[in-house]
Amino acid sequence: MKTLIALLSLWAAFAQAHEVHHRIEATDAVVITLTYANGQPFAYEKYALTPVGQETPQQVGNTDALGRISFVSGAVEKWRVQATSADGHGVNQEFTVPTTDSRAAPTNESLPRWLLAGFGLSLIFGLFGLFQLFVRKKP
Amino acid sequence: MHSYAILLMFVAITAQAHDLWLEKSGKHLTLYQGHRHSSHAGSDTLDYGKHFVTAATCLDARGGKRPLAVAGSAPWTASGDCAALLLEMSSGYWSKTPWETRNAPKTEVSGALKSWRSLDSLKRIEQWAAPFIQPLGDGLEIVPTSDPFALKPGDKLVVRVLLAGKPQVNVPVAYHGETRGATDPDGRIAIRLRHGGVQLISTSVELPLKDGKADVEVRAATLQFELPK
Repeated sequence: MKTLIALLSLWAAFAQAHEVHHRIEATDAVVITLTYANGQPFAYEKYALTPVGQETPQQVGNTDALGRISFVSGAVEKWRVQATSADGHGVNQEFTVPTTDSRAAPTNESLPRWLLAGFGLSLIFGLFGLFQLFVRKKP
Repeated sequence: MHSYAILLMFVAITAQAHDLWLEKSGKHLTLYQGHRHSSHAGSDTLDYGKHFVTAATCLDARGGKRPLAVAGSAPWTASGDCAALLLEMSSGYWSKTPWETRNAPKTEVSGALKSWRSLDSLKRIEQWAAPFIQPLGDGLEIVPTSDPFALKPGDKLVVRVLLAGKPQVNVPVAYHGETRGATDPDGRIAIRLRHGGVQLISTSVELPLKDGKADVEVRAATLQFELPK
């Protein structure tokens, strides 16, 4: 019996030593999207993310099916992303994490001014044309 | 929670891959692969296999063609006077899985998501001649529409991207690995030459492949010439 208890205690200690704790939380993240020149995703390829000025990468892994890398930048602003594929494609580029202001509205892209101006002119000419048509029809 | 994206577009070209270029030393020309002339960072030169070069053609100023030996050696070298030199290369079949990209046809890889056969061509124009306004081979090729040696940094060179003589529409074209735009319905694009020295203009297209070993054929082509520095 003592032997059994000793073995169980040993097993419990062994299991505890190999346990990996986890914590899940929602937080800010940077998403880098890598594509080929033709727009296709640079999917499932190896990458390394290293703070500029350091030699050891802070994060390594493979891009996802859409060619994305997501990471938590913390206080570090300048990073280098290196990604390569076995057939010779790759990127090796420094970048600066966008400021909070630019993060706040990532997809809020307004229409270009030239397009708005063109639309305004088209509207004016269209109304003028309708007006002319209306005036000419009157006896 | 915020999220945002940094979009990194790359070339390589083949999309973009490493640059290929021929370097002249005396009467010898040597084929290199790497990033020496790239706008993006990377190793200066990279090794390639002994059987990478599959065909080599030397052209004289009248357009006469002379095949060159491609006996397996790396780096590949050639000597002789050529007004232009056209190389065809292949790194073979590639298959991508969620875990790796292997230099093998999809028939030899378990769980392949995408597969392709890679073909490259490199045309180095040494001196301008009228026949060079036409494609020099049957594959994908970047053809200048005028004498590039008459230009200087800051000028634009209009080139055509042709495959088997047919214009390739809306394909990306890069200058030293940096995509500059896409071809028009006539296969044309104007590229501003930003500096002297080695000039590398490249493009790639993807074609369906029905040999059962890969889904598509990725063809890449580079035009090389040199201006005074």
